[in-house]
Order: sequence, then structure tokens, then C-alpha cells
Amino acid sequence: MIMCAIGLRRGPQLLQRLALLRESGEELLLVHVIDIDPRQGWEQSPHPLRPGPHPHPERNHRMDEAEMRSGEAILSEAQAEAQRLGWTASVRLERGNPERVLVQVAQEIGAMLLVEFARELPEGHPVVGPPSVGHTARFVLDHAPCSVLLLR
Amino acid sequence: MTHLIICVAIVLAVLACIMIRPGGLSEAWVALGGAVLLLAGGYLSIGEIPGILARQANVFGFFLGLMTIAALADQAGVFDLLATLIARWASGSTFWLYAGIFALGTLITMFLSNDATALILTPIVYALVTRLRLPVLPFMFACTFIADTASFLLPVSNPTNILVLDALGHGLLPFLHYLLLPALTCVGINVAIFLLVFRRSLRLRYAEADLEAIQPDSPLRRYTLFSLGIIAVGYVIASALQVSLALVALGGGALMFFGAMLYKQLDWKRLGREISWSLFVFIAGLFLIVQAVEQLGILTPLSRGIVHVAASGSFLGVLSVAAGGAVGSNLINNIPMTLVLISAFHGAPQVVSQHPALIYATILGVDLGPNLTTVGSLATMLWLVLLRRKGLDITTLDYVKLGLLIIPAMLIVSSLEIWLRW
Repeated sequence: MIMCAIGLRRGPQLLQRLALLRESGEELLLVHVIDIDPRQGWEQSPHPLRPGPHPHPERNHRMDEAEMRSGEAILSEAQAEAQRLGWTASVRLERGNPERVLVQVAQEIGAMLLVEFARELPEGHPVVGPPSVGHTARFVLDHAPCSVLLLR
Repeated sequence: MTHLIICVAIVLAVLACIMIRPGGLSEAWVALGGAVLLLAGGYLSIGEIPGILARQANVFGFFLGLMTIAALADQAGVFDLLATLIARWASGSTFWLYAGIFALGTLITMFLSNDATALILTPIVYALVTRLRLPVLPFMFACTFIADTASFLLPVSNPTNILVLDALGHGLLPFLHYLLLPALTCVGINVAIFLLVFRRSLRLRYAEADLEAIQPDSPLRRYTLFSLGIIAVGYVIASALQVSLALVALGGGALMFFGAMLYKQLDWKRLGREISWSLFVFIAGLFLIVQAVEQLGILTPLSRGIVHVAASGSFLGVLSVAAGGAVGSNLINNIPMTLVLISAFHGAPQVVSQHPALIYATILGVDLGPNLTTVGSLATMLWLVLLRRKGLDITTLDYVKLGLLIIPAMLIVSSLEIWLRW
């Protein structure tokens, strides 16, 4: 099984770069992780007139729904591209801290290879050197239980 | 002396618990508990409590009206509509969407307070940006920061402004005289710096097809928009004439409540959840605590310090008052810090009448304070750690700059503008 970390925007491009591996006969698992940290940070931060915790079902539902729809759309687009390129691909939508979830899933499925981009948004970043690799990619490189194919 | 030390110990314990929130304890219960301890210790008498709280009726009424208005505007879908319209106007440009969200956040803060922006607009923007498959952190940063940097455009933009103006008897004109230019400056600095820091993310484009369809026009939404316009005008006129803002806020809330009932779209339970009832307990407890502290003269040294600063008439003096307010509001929450400073001003009446610039330096500090740096706000620390971890391409130096320079830069420039009106 080849695991592919699908970010916000470049799922199809990642799959196009995998053409060389198609002869391996492996299936793809396309994984997108909904990053919960920004929302948790906002929920935990103090607000002007709200001393203490302030759960709000309607707002939570609104954000949950947006996350799910976006995640499903991202994976759907990537899966369509995978199928167009002749891959057999399944999808998995997760929530959590992206770098840790990716490593956990790779461990869980016994991935032989994990494919990721060095950065979500590469424009304007150095193409070589430490700043060329984002935090998530670096964590996965350091902790993945399998080989990692890092795409630039 | 023992009597005094015990009182100081109780107050410090209350402030520490507000800051740390041990075991997730609500600040409201902490403040109430502190007031009960002071009552038990004889620092307050039961007989004086109704009078202390009755004097703050304007503040309580304003807060209730403010939260009701924001909640009912949210229920009517006004914020969703405005956010979607901005996304359509930006026509796929993330840069213009970002600028538009800043503008919307400024407008909402200006007339509905920073609470509405931080708490109601932020999740709407989060959901919008998530649907558009854009990085969410720049937008959430925009909402939470602009909620504070725009919060001294008008007296109603931040409830702490009302606390200060109500206690010290000032109105709209002196407020604008001292704070309009600093407020516009701070908004400008905030927008400029964030556009620079997040410039890479803002080069993206989004598909307008990913936007939700705008909900069909509804009579309630039109009614709500019209009511908000009346309320906004009412705030300005009431501030100028020094009429109680609580009347405008409560009247506006009643107007919108009537509309929701009329169009049979009032969700009682949701409205009940939107109003932070614990806030009233929190503020009532704080008022009682500050009253006890004031009666004992514990804040006299702070009052003397303010008199000394006023006598010097120096820019550094103004800056120190603003910075002190900012740091203090960050450490112990801006509402108790505001009440402490008000109490200190009560002990220096000549400053209130002869050097009102210092009052506005205080407002500047407590309003900007919650956005302060890693050395203060837990929330800001969390945000900066998240930014770094998300690899939003800010180097260590950049995030130190963001944290340490943006608010001090605003404080210095705005304090200078206030001092020039000394």
C-alpha cells in the first residue's frame, strides 16, 4: 500500500508525479487530515465577554460541516485524478494534528511508502535548504515507519 | 496592618485564579468567591452591596443589550451574508478576501463590539475559508486581532471603554478627539503587517463555485439590517449627548427581539446560550472587590503614580500608562485591570479633569493588551506556536517580530498621537 498525504490544494499534482510507481501494482490510500489546532486555539483562547469555557452547538456544527465538506471534496478530487491515471485508490478522512495522524495511519496500515509534498504552499520559499521543507513534512520524514517520497 | 494584608492576599488570590483558572474554574465564581470572602472579612458590608451594584446598572444594561443585539443579528444570518458577499466581491482573490474580512471585522467591532467579531465572526470566517480550501490561520489571526485593534474606534466598540467612560463621566467627543486617529493608525498597522506576513498565502486563488449560495433574502434579515443601522446611529447620537448607552443597547436589543418574534424566527434556547450570564456575576464580583480595595486605600500608590505622570506631562508618562494597562490586562484579564485603573483615577480627580489624555491612554492599553506578546497572553502564545508549527513560513525572527513589535509599535505610535493632544 502506498499512502499519499493529500493537502488542501495539490492532490492531483501529487498523483501525477507518481506515474513512475504505477507498475508496482500497489494500491493508493489517499489521506487528508483536518487540522484541529487552529480551531482548538480559538476555542481555548479567552474572549472579551466570555469568562470561562463557552461551547456553542450551532457554531461548532457550522465549522464541523465546513471541515467535512471541504475534506470530502479534497479527497474526491484526488481520487478522481488517481483513477484517471489508472490507480486503484481508496480515501480516508481524519481529524487531528496532521503530522502525527499521518504517521499513525502509516503505522496502522503498514504502508510501504508515504508520499508527501515538502510544502503545502511552495511559492516564495527557498527550493533547497531547511526552509524548503515544512513542519508537517519534516515531522513525517523524521517519524514515518516506512520510506518517504518527498516531492517538491 | 494584618487586616490590610489579608485583603491584599484575597485580591491577589482572586487575580491569580482569574489568570490561571485552576481546574477550569470559571472566572465568575472566582470573582464572586473573592467578594464573599471580603464580605466575610468585614471589608464590605451587606448594606452597601445593592448601592454598589445599582451604580453600575448602565454597564450591566449595556452588556445585556450588546450581547442580545449580536446574538439576534447572528440568528438572522447577517454575519453569514456579509462574509459571503465579501467573498463574492473578492472574485477569487484571496488577497482581496483577506482585506475584506479585515474591513468587515473593523465594522462589526466598531458598532457591535470586539466580542461579536472575536466570537461570532471568527467561526463564520473559519467555515467560509475552510470551504474555499484556503489556509485558515491567517484569517483567524485577522479576526481575533482586528477585534482588539479596532476596539477603540467608538465607545461601544469595547465594553471596557464603557466601563471607563461611565465611571469617569466622559462622552463621545473627547473620546474621538484622543482616540480616533490612534485607532485608525492601529488598524492600519495591523492590516499592513498581516498582509506582509501572510503574503504567500494571499497569492492563492479560490473557486467561487465553492461558495455557499447566498440564502434567499428574508424579511427578518432586512429588518435586522435596518435595525442595526438605527442602533449604530443611536450609539453615535447617545455618545455625543452623553445619554445612557444602555438605553440604546437595550432598546436596540428589544427592537431586534420584536422582529424575531414577529417573523417567528426567535430561537430562545440559542439566544439564552449566546448571552454570557456568567459575565454579570463576574463583573458584579469584580465591582465589589474593587470597592473594598478602594475603601482601604490600597490603590493610593497607583493614584499617586498617575498624578506624578500627569504632572510630568511627558510622552514616556503617557506610554507607561498605556503599556501598564496593556501588560496588566494581559496578565489578569482586561475587565479587572480596567476596574483597577478606574479606581486609581478616582483617587486622582484632578487628573481626570485636567489631563484626560491619560484616561484615553488607559483605554488604549487595555483595549490593545489582549493581543500582546508571548510574554503575556496565553492565547497569543498559542497562536504564535501554531503559526510556527504550521510552517506558515515565518522564521523565528519573523514570529518574534510579529509578537513583540506589532503591539508595542501600535502602543508607541498611538501614545504619541494621544500625547500630541495633551
